[in-house]
Amino acid sequence: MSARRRRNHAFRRRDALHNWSLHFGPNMTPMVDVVMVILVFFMASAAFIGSQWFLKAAVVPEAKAAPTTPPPPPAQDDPFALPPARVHVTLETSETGETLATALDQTRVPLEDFLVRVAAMPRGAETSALEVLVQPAASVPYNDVIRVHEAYHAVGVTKVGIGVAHSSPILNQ
Amino acid sequence: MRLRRSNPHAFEGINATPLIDVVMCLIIFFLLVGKLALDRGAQIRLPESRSGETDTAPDLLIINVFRTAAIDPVAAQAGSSSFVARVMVEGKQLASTGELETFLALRLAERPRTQIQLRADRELPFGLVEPVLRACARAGAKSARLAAEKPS
Repeated sequence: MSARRRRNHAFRRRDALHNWSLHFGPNMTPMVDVVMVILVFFMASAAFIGSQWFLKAAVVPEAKAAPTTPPPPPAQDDPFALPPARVHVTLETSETGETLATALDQTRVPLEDFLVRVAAMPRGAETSALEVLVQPAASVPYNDVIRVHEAYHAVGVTKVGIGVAHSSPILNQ
Repeated sequence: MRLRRSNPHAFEGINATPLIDVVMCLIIFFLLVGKLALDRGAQIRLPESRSGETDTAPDLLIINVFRTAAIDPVAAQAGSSSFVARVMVEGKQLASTGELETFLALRLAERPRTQIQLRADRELPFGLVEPVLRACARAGAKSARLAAEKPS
């Protein structure tokens, strides 16, 4: 057996622990373990949180929510008329269960038509300064309230309030 | 007599450090996910919204309002609604809106920067959601976040 082959044979006989002692640098195994767990955590929490968002609404106290006098309608012929500072949107249901909206010059129009009108509003400084107070009746589906809020939010109206003037004693009977 | 040197590579037991790291991470993971599931995982069909905001609040109080299968006979006779709503805050069901108002007032007094997020079922009539909003207003809240679902 040559000297070179003897040398190789001697290296092969070293056990695993001895080979491990020849390693250098930090041990990466715990870090990889923890990073993997954190990754799984963020994936799971994203599944909970990621599909939801919110619409911010001012909660208007009862006294302010119920206006004693309705706001005057804007002058149709005046091109310099400023938009009203606050728009009251009243939602109610018809005898057939359809949601009707009343705001400004529109009286008891179907909700779908009202949402089309809102979507046609120009985005700008006027809309961002506008305050909208939605006053739904007790029988109006909550989904329709959110649809009105969403429509105004989409055109840049950020100051939307939900009036709580209507009372409903039905809760947790 | 020549003493035999001990083997420096002798087996010294299992290294428990990675095990403890992972177990601690798992405990924290399940604690947080359990809290999230308690607040947001209630069986509520949120209304859909194509626009919304997603910023996170440091102190968020989630109020769940969901309908139950029970039928309210008084409301059904009156023709208003046959649903019964249940209000749940932090995993605890509240018996009345008065209790909710007291809870909110105490919470807002302790932590004035608390943001209220309302998660209400889309099929509920507004008459069952409105008392919750009224309780928020009476407790001193200026605004509420109305949770909605992103359309898929």
